Amino acid sequence: MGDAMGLSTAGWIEIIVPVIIGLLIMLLYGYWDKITHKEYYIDDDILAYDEELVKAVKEGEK
Amino acid sequence: MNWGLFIGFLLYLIILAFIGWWSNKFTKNESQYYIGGRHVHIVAASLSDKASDFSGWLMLGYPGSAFKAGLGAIWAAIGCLGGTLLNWTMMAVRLRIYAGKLKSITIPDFLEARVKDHTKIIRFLSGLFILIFMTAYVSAQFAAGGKTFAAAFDVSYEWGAAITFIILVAYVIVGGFFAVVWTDVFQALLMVTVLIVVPFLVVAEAGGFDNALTLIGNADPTKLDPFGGAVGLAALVFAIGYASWIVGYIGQPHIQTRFMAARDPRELRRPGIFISIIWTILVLWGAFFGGFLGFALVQNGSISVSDPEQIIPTLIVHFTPPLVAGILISGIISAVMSTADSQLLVAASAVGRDYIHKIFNYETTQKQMVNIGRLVVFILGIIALWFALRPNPLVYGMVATAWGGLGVGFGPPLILSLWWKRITKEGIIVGMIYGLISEIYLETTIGWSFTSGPLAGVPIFFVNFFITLFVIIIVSLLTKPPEEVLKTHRELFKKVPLEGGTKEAVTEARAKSQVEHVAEHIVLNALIP
Repeated sequence: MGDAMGLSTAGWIEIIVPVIIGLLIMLLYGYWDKITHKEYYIDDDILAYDEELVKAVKEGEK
Repeated sequence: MNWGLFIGFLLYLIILAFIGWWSNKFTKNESQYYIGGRHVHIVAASLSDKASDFSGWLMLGYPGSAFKAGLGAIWAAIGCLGGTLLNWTMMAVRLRIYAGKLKSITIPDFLEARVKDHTKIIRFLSGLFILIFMTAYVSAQFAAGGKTFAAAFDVSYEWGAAITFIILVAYVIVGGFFAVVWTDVFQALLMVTVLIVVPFLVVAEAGGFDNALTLIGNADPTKLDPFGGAVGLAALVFAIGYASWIVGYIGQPHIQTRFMAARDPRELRRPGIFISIIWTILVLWGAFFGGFLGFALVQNGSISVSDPEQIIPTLIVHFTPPLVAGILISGIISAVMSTADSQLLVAASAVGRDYIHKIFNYETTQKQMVNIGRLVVFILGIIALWFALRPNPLVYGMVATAWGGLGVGFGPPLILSLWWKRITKEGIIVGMIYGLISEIYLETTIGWSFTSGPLAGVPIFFVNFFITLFVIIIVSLLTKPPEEVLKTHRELFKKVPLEGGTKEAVTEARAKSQVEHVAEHIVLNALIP
């Protein structure tokens, strides 16, 4: 085996920094509603379980 | 045939079969078959999104690239992490809100409803993009499956591809989206286990991290350079060449469909993005270090590999007893299966729902629509298998072409539809026609990346993505969207105060907001004299 070699500072930065930035963006976005105290207006229409399914279930019950 | 390996793989197949059988109970209509009735649990939607995203590329292609290029290959992981962040921050929540409001099941459904295109041209073009590029993508997965089976179980490549086809088509036909999602969850867990365990075993055998780096550096010092030895502009082009996959993320229908299927858009913000990003970081690190450090074991003579892309399966067989190796090798096949199943389902939806149901107006019962979807899955699977069985299949080229085609075709119209109210159907139609013709022409004449000039090594789709985006913006500015479309977009992404964060407080805030809206309407329109 030759001389001991390691990763350069630039190498470590390349491996570590994007992950830290990624985790920070994740946390910022994940808690953005808590930070701004605002969230998208979500009504029942958006949350509604599929209409066709509800119809199919009702038809099945008859 | 190594029977220990085979029994381990058999256990994996039994679990897949059980999930397929269980999911079949929940698949009775078209919406359930294609997006699980828009009621998929957030953990399943998040993990399934990632398992569909990372194909055989993660377990074979990327470790092979890290093995060959060394540290510089981490730019591809940076691109993938960036693409995942882009998807979750810019696409997920808004797409789910729009899909729920417009009752869209597929991406063509959404684009058509978003700009009120009654001509069905957007649906037709979308179907064409999906059929051409997704079938090529599925074909690449069959080829990757064939290669993995051939390496692990000592069967011919053709038999390996055929076995991949049989297992995959069987559970997609039986269970539809629910089967695909829940097998994806199981497969995502298997993949992350493999990619966490393998690098640690490699470091232990190499005698520590520093020893492994010394072995790599002594063999080839450029493998320890962040830009593969390139400097100046060449270093920048090197990094862009690897990281450019980022723009393709927002145009992959099999990934975007996961967001449309989630139960509640707010869950996509939290915990959805947490599950997805943490899983992504773990597997990308694992795949990178598996290939990068695996090179050290080849240097000290512990293992030998004829094809760099076989580094992960070789390491698994080297380190673990046959039964465990059989289960872990299944982790690689999982990566292939979990992507191909989603792609097959999306391609089937393009024919079954977009062409037969919506364009040709073939009205039938929900049960018949599900059966048509199943028949289409089988036929498209056969076509993809036929392509995979041609001589010398180039998996990497097929994946790059498909990724680029879908990224250029759907990326610009999707992101503009979600964030720009002024986008018009004319803009999308012209942009998609440009994208389709240019991608097919450039990729068949030049190849998947530029081969000369200052952009040599940069994928064609990276440049073409921005041209398509520009074309859509210009044409949209020259035309006018209907007032109704503008109004829907404005109202849909209105934000309401979040007080205290409890469910009751949110409900109260929404109720208050509605009262305020009525009051505002009355005042503005002078309804009270």
